[in-house]
Amino acid sequence: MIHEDVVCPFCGCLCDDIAVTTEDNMITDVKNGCAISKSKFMNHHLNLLESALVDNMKVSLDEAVGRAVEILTNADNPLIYGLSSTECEAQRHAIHLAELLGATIDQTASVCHGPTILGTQDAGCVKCTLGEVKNRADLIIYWGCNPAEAHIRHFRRYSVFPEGLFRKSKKEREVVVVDVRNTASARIATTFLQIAPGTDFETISLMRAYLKGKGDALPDEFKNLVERMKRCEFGIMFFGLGLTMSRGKHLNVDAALRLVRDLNEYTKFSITPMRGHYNVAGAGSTMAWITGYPFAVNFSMGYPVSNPGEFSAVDVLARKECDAALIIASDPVANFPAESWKHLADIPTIVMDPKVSLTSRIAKVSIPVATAGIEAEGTAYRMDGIPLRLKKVVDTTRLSDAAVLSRMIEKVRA
Amino acid sequence: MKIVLLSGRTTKQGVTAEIGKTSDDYLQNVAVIQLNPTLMEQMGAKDGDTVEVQTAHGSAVVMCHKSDIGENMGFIPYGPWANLLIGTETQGTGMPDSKGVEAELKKTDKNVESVDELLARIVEGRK
Repeated sequence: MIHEDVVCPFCGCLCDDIAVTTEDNMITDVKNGCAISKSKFMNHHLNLLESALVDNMKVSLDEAVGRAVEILTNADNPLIYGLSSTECEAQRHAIHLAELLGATIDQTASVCHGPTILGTQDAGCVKCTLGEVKNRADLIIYWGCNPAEAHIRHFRRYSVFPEGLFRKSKKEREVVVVDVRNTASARIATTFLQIAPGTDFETISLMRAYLKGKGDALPDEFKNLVERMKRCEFGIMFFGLGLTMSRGKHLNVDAALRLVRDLNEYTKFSITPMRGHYNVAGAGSTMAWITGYPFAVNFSMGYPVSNPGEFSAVDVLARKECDAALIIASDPVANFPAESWKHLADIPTIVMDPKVSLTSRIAKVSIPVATAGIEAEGTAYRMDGIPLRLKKVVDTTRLSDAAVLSRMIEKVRA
Repeated sequence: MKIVLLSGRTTKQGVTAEIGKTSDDYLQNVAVIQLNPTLMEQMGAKDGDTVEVQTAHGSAVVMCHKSDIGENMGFIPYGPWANLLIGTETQGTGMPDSKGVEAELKKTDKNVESVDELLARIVEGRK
């Protein structure tokens, strides 16, 4: 059986043209996907968490869920973390569980585009959809990101190569890459501008000053870029973790957002973060519409309070403030600074994941779940904020994240 | 050798993480550092040799590979080995300094630690 127009559950591109062939409930072929997408679909059944575990002993799902709820309800300050690699219904249940427990809840944007959210709260964001980019953009800037390796079909589907309504091919588009290293993406660009690590804020701020007639210190190649940005008909800046993870963090993003805002005095210009995990944009949206805040939220007062730096997961773990953790669709031991692994090992950690992860290796309770977008359906938000429906292409006896979280909520309430 | 350490995604890192983070494929593609050939020559290191990277926050032994990255930089794909070298300070943002960390680099005869060895070193006796 061939499943057409499947949405890929890997990165924020959410490519929705994947064709997945299944035979006897096994995926046998994947068409249209990038190398990572194919790997995700074809290898989804490898290295699975084969059974629910408590203290590395096999138990039933009910026992594992019961033990997890016992740990979470006995904790004074539990942490719920992850969410970006699952669908919005599961995210909604996780937030509800956090509210019932009086827990801290954070999602992976915290160590990804969290500074983008902070910058956006400060400066606002001139947004557009990827469809508008495909149809209209004649100047495309990638700043501090490497889609050739991280968002592999972004060029082909949304920006550089597709046949759009008003731009038919790469010939009708100018592509600029600004980065600290000569990446695979830089080699696709018509112009590559290299800057020194940690100088994004200075460069963008000088571009803003030049735009206002005061940027004499700006290097000529960037003056030229600003002139081209002013002259284009529809410009777009895509930016990545080169801005959010470097010195300056949210201030780098703040400067970029303000530059784009200023450019709209001359032409139409938009800006879009290159979101990494396929539903990290959904995690922010779901948390924002339920709690009012997109990440780093605490419910200990009985109502949501947000404060990045205080309720963000890395900080909570580094200060050893949580006394239990529930990790959903994420692997902080692979992705957090090593010092924070120690506290996850010191406290009872519960992991919900389809696969063995590094965090499941140190967890007290492991709960196997269905892989969202392959074994469970749901909704995910693309990097430009467009919600798309994930499909289920194979059956599994394992419950979805949403179903497991729903059981936890029932037990907490009982 | 002093370098500025960068981290990020690579296609191979993404592909092998989907196979499994405990797989040898993942280790071969993530426990690596991309360096400029001139810098590797100065260190006397060949492609595939192991180097020890030390920062204020920790150290990691990884395999080095030639790349056209700048001479004063090193690039390690996201993963547990990169995270051995990063601190937990977030300056009130939630985000650690994952790019732009100063590091010291030297050739070594030590082997790359496996995932099990890493976990044992960092969390042994805690679970």
